[in-house]
Amino acid sequence: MSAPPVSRSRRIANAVRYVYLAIVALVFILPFYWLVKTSLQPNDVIYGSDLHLVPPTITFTHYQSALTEVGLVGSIVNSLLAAVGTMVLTTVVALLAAYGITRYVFPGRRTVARLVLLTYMFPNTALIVPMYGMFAAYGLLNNPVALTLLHSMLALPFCLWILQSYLESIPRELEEAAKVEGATEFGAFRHVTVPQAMPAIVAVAILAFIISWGEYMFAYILTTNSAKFTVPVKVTQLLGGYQVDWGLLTAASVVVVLPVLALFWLMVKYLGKGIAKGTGAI
Amino acid sequence: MSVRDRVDAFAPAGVDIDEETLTGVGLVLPAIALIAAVLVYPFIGAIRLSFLNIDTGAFVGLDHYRWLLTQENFWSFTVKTLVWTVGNLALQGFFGVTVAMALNRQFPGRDGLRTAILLPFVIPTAVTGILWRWMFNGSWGPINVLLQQELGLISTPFTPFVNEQFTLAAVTFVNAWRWVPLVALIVFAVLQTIPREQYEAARIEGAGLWSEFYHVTYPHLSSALSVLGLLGFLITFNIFDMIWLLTNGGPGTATTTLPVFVYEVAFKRQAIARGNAISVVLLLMLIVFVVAFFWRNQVLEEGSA
Repeated sequence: MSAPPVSRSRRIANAVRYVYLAIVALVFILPFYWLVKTSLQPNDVIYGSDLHLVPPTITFTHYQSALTEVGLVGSIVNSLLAAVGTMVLTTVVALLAAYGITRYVFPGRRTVARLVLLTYMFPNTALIVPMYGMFAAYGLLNNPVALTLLHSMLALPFCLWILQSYLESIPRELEEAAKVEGATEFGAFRHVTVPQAMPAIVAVAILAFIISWGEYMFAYILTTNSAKFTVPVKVTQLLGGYQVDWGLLTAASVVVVLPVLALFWLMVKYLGKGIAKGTGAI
Repeated sequence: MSVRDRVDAFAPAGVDIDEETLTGVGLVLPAIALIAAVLVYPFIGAIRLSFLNIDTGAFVGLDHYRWLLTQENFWSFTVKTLVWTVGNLALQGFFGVTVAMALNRQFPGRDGLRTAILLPFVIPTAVTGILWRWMFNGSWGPINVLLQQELGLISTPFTPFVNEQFTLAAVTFVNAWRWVPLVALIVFAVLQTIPREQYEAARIEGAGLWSEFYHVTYPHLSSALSVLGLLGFLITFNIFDMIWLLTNGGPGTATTTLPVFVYEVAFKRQAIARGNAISVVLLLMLIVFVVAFFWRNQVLEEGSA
């Protein structure tokens, strides 16, 4: 069967499509390119009056000062502790809950799934004061455990949602077969469900990491000791003061974005369409 | 009374607490415990504080709420929060759907582009703030250098984060810039589930582009968009960090939405109890919104049944 003839309006629509995508790519990617470009230029070019799309000269001095002079490395370590903690805690908790909701019939399971998403109703700013008091009382200020708990709470609803829709989409016959063959409930979960759900598990783990890595408000409030600052707090501190050193600031920004980009790239490589599949089953 | 008897006494008649229920509840319990301990419990603390005099610990009833109602600014901040939220949803909805539709056709480099535009969503908000403050920097930012020196289109720098007239629009734009990629990704995933045959059938019947969208695409999207709209409303209404990082709520009060107001009152003015009272009112507003949302959906469902 031949394809229906392509009408003139469709050909125009197609041209519009590519022009639109080119503009979209420009708007979403160019600002970040500019950040990287600024970070690689000497000050006289950054504060010069000419516009260069391609940097005329390249220097790494801003990276040198970002890594040695302002304590950025320490804050990367602080962020890593909280982000890895968040990644592990969120993934485990969300996976268990998603498994429970999709594989066991019990009263209220649909309600639980819905209510968890509605936690986005709570204004986080309201939590600052009682949270500060609570963690101070347990001696957890300046402690990655506090941030791990908080960031897991922030990441959980979205992660649970993705895992739940993914688990719903994979067939249960294999699990049933494993149980018939004598596997325990946990054995079937570990050796059948988990490998099948791996794409969604990886997506959720990385999402939790990204959420924790970028979280600003709680990290700012719950850290009173500047040696314990996480990266978002650290880089915004560099923005204070009368004279902003844009070379240093952009270099520091690029450094703190790199781990996230690396993880994100891994995820895309590993998942392919997995993440789209996970979010598609709304 | 034995343990067994007690369990039986608590179980409502007719509900068996069998093994399946126990396992299911047990698996969900850590998630519920986390939310209860780190969200609900502290929030109850915030509600309690909103009825107290922080210094003496005395119960002051609705004093802080009465104070809030006398604040003329409160209403303008509420309106500002709505403008910010609705503006964001409109931008994210329009660009999220159109970008997803533009991507919904195979061409070389599509998957790479789809991934690359997620960049704004994965970088930390703090970096987004720095990035856009640099882009719009009045002296050396590329946008002003381009418009002022290279093209000569403007005579004074365009600095939307400082110029009161444009601030709310500018922060809305940056926040939408951050979220559009995620909306586009989710909508794209839904578009992929629409069977090709439906488009072919529409074409054979001679449907134009608009009627193809209205009769084929939109019916598949509407439920996803409705869920996204609900979550987007709740998330956007409560956003604090993006606004704070770009403008600190200023200049003046130009970008003071309610969450920024909470922070101002509780920390800048050290009136913690009043800040909490605002938060409680904020939550009540959102509860009303959620109830209205589900009520409307139910009415629509019954109407179409």
